[in-house]
Amino acid sequence: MNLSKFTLTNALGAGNEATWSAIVARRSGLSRCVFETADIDTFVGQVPDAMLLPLRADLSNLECRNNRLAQLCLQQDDFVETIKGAIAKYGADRIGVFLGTSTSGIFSTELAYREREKHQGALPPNFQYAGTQNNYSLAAFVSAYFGLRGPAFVVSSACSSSAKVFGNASRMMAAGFCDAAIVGGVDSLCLTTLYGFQSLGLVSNQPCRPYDADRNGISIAEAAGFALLEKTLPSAQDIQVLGVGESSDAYHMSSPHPEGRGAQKAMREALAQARIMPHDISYINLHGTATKTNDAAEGAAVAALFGQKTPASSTKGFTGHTLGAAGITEIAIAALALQRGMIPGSLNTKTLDPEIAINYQLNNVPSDMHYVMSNSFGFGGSNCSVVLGMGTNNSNQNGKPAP
Amino acid sequence: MKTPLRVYVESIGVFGTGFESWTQAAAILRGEQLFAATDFPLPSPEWLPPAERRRTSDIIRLALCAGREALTAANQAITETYTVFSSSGGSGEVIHQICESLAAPEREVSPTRFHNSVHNAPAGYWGIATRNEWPSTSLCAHDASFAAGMLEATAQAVICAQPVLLLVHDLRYPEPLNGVRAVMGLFSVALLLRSTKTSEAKCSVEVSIATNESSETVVHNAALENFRTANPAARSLPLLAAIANRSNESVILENVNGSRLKLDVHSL
Repeated sequence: MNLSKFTLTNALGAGNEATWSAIVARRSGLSRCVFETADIDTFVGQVPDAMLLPLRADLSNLECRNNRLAQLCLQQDDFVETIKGAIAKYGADRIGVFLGTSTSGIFSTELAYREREKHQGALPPNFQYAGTQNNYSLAAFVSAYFGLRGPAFVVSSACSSSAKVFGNASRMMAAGFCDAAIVGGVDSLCLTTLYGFQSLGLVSNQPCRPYDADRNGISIAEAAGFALLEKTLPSAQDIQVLGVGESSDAYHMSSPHPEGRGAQKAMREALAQARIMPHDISYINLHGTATKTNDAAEGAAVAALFGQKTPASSTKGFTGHTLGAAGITEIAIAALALQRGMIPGSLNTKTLDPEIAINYQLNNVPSDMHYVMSNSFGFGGSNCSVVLGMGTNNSNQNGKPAP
Repeated sequence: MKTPLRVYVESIGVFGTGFESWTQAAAILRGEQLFAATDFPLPSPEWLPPAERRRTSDIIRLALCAGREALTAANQAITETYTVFSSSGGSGEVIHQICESLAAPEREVSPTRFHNSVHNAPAGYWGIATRNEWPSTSLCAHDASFAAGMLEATAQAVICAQPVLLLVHDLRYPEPLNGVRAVMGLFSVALLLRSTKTSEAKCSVEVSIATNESSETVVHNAALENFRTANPAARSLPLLAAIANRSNESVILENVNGSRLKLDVHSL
């Protein structure tokens, strides 16, 4: 499967160049939380409200912060032109839309609940459930934005959502239900996640410090990212999706298995699908949320599979934890790392956790890479690991697990 | 690979308004029993560890009871299936409680409610209950969530060559959400699908995407037809009716983006 085109928007800015230049300049997108009326001592990755413009007039039934962020992202990196070209090539009914979100437009529902007193306990009459709170709203928006008529759904498996959609797309294409697919995801700031993660004691009062010995929680952030996946034969400059490993922890709703058993299974499966060995991977973009337990569990899993050799880092010090958009955000950063030949070093991490024996990168390092991996893990023990390749002879295009 | 893709339905679980089990649902769908739109109490998932059991929300209990019936009927080792969960709305109760807390001055969100608010909460509890470490996904396609689940589960069964348990469930929202999204009662269906035919197989289903020229299959009973359109998970009723009646027919489901899903059912 070819990653023909991708685009990113997050607190670092709109478009791929904004994210990459911030990583090169080692600039964080995190700032002290002033989101709406949230009263929480933390840092967030927020896209400025002024950039989140109203939706195209014909899509106003889908109006919400989440879809505004989706719209802003779609307008970057010639993504619209690329999709128009894909429609001309395949037809609007042969392009699938498989997107991840964890909270969709729930922020609209939160605001509507404050208006109930004025409406005898009901929600305001202009509140539109299907276009906001319902998870499908995002896929409805992207389908309508391009006039697509192919299969579409949203995957909502918390923080693995927009990585797992790469698996859905590969199966749907292998099954012949579509010829190409738009994948990705969007999550936007809302009070549910800010107060919810705070209630679990998982929110840091500082910009998050992944894999630091003194890490104390996440920085919640918003982001959007989209990619076009096709089955075309790759050229040497094309990025290929070679493996999508998925697994379940079957352990606990909000804590990872301590040895990262499910994470290991996902990484092994991704490597098997790509038909490569752990030592072939040049860089792992870790999930690395900067909570005590997540980094310890993921670190244990990576150490078990890769030892202390393979360079790895979390880029959440730059972007924050973009939750349901973390998968696409970090797969795209891994793709940029491949294209630009640089391993991004972790930001904000000062003292490495001596308990985690992996080759964690603190500085940006030039590197000639062929295979990279991106990890995404979510609540409910939902794990996904994706292997990308560039300039390789490998082409597992059918989504089947390797024998 | 050319569409359609063929899967075999090996076992079924059903629970919801007027439905206590697949056996009883099949009798209703054959017209042997009357459909009465009354709610049965949701069974407590005794197979979950006590700490987890206490934390389950209504949608989790709803999903788990149909899933368990399907697995028990199939004699399938519970640790060996892929799972596809799909729901239009997840737990309205949990979302309602969180939004109410956030509208109050204290903004105290319960940690259990927050982790139960994720759309994949039923999948998480299912994993804990079954110790199943295989891939699991959780989908949403608004009113077409059963069609989306069927499409994904079929693709997984055929492409990954694994047994796949499809679990689709929806239940009514509390007020005021019910005022903006009317879902009737509760309904949960679980189908164990396989790409190969076993002696247990009830029918084969060939799955393909059709255009919106074909009209949606309805249920020939006014009360059931009303329920089909009023609960997204109950959009599975025409397929369940075809299986219960051992008929060979094309079931057309409404899908997203103006398309349809065509399920060619052949009884075995």
